[in-house]
Amino acid sequence: MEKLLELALKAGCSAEVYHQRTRSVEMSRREGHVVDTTATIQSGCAIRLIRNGRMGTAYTKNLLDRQALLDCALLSLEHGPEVDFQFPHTSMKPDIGGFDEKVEGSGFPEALSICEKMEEMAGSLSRSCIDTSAGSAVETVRLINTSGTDLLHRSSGVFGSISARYPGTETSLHTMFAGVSDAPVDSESVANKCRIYEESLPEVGAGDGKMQVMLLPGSLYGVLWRLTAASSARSFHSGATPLKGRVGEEVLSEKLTLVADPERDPAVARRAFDDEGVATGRVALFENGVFKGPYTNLFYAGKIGVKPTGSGFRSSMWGGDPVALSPEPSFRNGTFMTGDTSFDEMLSMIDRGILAFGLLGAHSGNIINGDFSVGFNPGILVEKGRIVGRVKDGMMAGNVYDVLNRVQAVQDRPYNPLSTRLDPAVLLESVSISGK
Amino acid sequence: MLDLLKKTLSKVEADYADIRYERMRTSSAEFIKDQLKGVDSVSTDGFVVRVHKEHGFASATVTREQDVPEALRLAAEGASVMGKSGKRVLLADVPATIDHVEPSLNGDPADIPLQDKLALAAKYSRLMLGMPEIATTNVSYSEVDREKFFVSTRGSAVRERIVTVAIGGEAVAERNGLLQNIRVAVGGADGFHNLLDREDEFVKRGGLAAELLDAEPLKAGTYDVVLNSSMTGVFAHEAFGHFSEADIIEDNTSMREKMALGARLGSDAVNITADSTMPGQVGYYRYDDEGVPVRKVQLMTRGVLTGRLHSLRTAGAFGEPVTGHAVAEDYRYEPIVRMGTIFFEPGELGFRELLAQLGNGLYLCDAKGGQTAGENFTFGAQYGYLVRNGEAGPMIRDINIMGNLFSTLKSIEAAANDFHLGERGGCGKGQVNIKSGHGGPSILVRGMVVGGV
Repeated sequence: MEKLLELALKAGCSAEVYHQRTRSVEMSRREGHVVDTTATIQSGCAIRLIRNGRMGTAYTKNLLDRQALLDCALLSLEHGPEVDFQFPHTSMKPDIGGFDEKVEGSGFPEALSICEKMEEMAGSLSRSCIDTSAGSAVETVRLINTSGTDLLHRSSGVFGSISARYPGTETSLHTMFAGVSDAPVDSESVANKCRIYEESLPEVGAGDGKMQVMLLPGSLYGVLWRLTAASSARSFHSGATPLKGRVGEEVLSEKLTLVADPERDPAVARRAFDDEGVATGRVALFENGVFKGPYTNLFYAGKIGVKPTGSGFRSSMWGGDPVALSPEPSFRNGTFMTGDTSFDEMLSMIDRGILAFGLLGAHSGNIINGDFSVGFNPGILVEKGRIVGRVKDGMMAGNVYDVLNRVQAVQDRPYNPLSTRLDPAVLLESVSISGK
Repeated sequence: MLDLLKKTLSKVEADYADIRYERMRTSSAEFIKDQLKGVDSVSTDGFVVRVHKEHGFASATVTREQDVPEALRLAAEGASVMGKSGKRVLLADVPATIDHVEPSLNGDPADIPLQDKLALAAKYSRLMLGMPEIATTNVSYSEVDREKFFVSTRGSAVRERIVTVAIGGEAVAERNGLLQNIRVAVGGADGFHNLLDREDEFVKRGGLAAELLDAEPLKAGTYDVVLNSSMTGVFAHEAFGHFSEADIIEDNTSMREKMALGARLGSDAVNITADSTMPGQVGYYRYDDEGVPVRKVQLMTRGVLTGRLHSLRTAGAFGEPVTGHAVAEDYRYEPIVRMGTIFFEPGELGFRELLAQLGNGLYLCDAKGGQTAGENFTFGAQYGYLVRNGEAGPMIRDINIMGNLFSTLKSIEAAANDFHLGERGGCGKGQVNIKSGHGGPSILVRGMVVGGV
């Protein structure tokens, strides 16, 4: 990496070199059998150059020829975009935890053990409706630049996930456990989800009309996606955001505060610096409903004249290889702050409404405008505070700046059945529902 | 390279093993409005190994040649654990294939200077940006050039180069804080010529984005609908096609019963085909990532299930012939069963006759992403029109449809003769497959749940 920087300096450029290595194993079980196992050992190296106010980028998965990589970046720079930033100097922070070296040697036998443990916890539920998966991953990221930054991040994670699948369908209720050293499998969480599953087995029609909707953590991403698309500095730079000119304005219910805060992140997802070497910290997008301003990477910070927020990550909406992607504004692990109402209290507040445990088609629709029109996957119908069944062919639709102003309650506990991001459930009133 | 891979495999102790090495060259650039956001032109590579032993079957992927032995060890460990769990994987027996395939290209993008590619994308972006009420545009150039080397212990040795190019993005119109967007994409798998002289398409899409500012938000409800060819293609892909991928239902007992070959699942109007042998289409290829030649598969004939798509593993599990549909996104992934080009076959009605048969309802146009969860599906339309007495009227927006595969297949009443295939693919079944093309004619479906606002 250092030799690459030297070559870049010789070419008259300031430069940043990013290196990532991951090792992961993952196993899936269905109906008591292992049906899939995959292992990956991936590494790669990406370079960004700045010269005369222009930027060039290149990457390779196999750094066999440094000069060839640099030549690709110089070709990119020749045609590249104008930039208004320099690579920052950032000192290494103290260890923030999040790494256990023993996970490096973890393999399929360990994953199998986690799966079997979760299946045992499902107790009376038939094996034919239980799916599990488990695995582990270790990641090393090193970032150096010509401003003297030399940062290293090592993380490990072990996860287990259990799903109760509705008969004859691929629709499930999920529960996930993730930790730095081991998957903290919790029998009470599994039992609760199994209870809800059993109560919601009957298929029911929701009909058309307005009703209450509780967005569980597994479905909140549908509204988060729209809020973070509009709040990105990329949208502010292009001018395509309904939040333009609304900094300081209360645009959501005062019950909602949306922040990215590495101090609150579970250790398995914590980062001390972003993928550009900018230190991370608490970034609030909405504080008690008030829009606080865009989150940004270095590129857009320069373009719109704001300070970088440590939100430049090599990620995209559809995953992708971090080495191949350029850092983009990413509201990584952004979550809603918890409220003061328990799940059971929120359930009792529903006269007739739907628990949205998951969504189908959240990526469709006019995302930048905040519109959504999504299927429930699954949605569970509640009447007079009691679960009556699983909704057949139900959809909800609206605009996030409308429905998120009708928040009745926010749950007092964060969790997530699908990822390491932790959110509370949010209860909304009067959401448009269509169904058979 | 093929000799090196053969030598590597010769040391493996297993019932079956294969190894795929890929070199991938990509060029990409993105314009936001008329400003270049970034440009890349890079080359990289990697290995994927798979091992079948003790009745289990597992894969591992690595980027460095020195990690290949560890990948083989991990794959063998995974296969062993799977086999001991009671799962018995039987790989279909296929003859060894030895071949070297070069694509037939009308304009090899590798021969086009980068600056010409940037200029073309910039021109299309500026065209839309100059149109009334277009607030911003986002236009990307994308070129993926994969050279794959595949070797198996059964004696197959296949080398194939696949080149895919596209220019795509969106135009966003704005009026008084209301934002409306329309997507645009041109491209293909038979050369750079697909991208040239496409000004009309970009102007048309920019115009549609501006028109959406005056469109009425749709009221949620249940409607009779006509889907245009893009929407029909997404229906064929999302709602039906994924269930024709045998790995989706391999371990789902109830779905395997429902999807038995010979089962009547749809109306007589439903004829669906997967055909990745059609030259020039984005889904075109000769060999899948198991070295099996791809073949045309008639999936549904007059509503009766007549075929499905297979890998070696699923063909073995179902006792059905291989079809050559095990495809990986790139060198980072094991192959999984993918559709390639899938389409709903045309009927005999003219488009206006189809609208007349609809009577009152909605005409929904141009897909905007879709998703399935088992037999339930949802996908969006970029715009549409209210239809009254067989005549398309006011434009509508905010449209997503949802349904159940089996009930919808029976509710398809007719297909028009206006067959069209899309130019750009994209499917996110675990891996992103840019070679998933689809299309069809306009079709009439009764009683669809449509989410509006």
